Amino acid sequence: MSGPNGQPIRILIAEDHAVVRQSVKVMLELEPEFIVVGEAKDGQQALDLAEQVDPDLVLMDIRMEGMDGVEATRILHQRSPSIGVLILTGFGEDAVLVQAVEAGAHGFLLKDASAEELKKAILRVVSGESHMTPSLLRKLLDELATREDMPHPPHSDLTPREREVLEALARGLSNEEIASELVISEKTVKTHLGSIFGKLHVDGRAQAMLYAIREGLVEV
Amino acid sequence: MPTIDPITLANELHDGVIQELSALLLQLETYQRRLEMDPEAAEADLQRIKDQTRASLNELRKLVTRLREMEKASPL
Repeated sequence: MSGPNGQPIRILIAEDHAVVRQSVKVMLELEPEFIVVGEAKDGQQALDLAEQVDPDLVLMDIRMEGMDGVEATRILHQRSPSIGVLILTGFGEDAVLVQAVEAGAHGFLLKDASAEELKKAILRVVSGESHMTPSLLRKLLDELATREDMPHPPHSDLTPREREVLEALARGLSNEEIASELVISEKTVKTHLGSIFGKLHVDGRAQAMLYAIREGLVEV
Repeated sequence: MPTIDPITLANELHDGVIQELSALLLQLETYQRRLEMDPEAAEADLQRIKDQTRASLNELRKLVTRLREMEKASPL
């Protein structure tokens, strides 16, 4: 994912409510780090625009007329895995949140988040990390507790160090925080994460987090 | 007299007033931020926020009126 290094982060907003869409846009554009490069009112339009403007990140609503945010995330993630997807939702609809993460979303945030939180979440997703609002993480856990039908790849082949990194990740720590907690470099954290994702057959941090929580590797 | 079922009511609230309140909150966030950077622009923000709050309030009133009329027309 590009973005940092002086260039503003290019954001596409997918949101069906015109006033909300406009409000998000105005809020984002107050920040010199961000530029809104497209506005879509449904999933299909988001996909079409993403192809044209190649954003760094899509802020994706879930409930939209026509193609919803989960389906759009799934297709976008297959086509352009380097584009970050941050779900911006009005409700923490549990089952849908799990579906969104499985579809490839990198994080989610409630629409009542502060400008500061939104900024932080965008920066984290664009730098390749994930972002979950604590209240939504709780809902995610409740939903997972009711689901036992998912494949559980074994985690026994993780090294003790990798398990520590995974636990820290699942607690919502950033790479920098993990590095500091385990007294290792950020680069080493990234190396561990790459190895963990490969062993667990997961597609990024958000899914690794889900996996760790589901497997009871971490208490949240 | 048409009735309104709870699901329709929930959807109507979600697509209407709830979205508008979300938007207002975003606009208030923007206003707060802009106040530090550009007080004149912030003033314009505030006017828009007031107008939109009024519009949302009216919409909610209309919905309440509709619900009351329904209740009157078909007492259970």
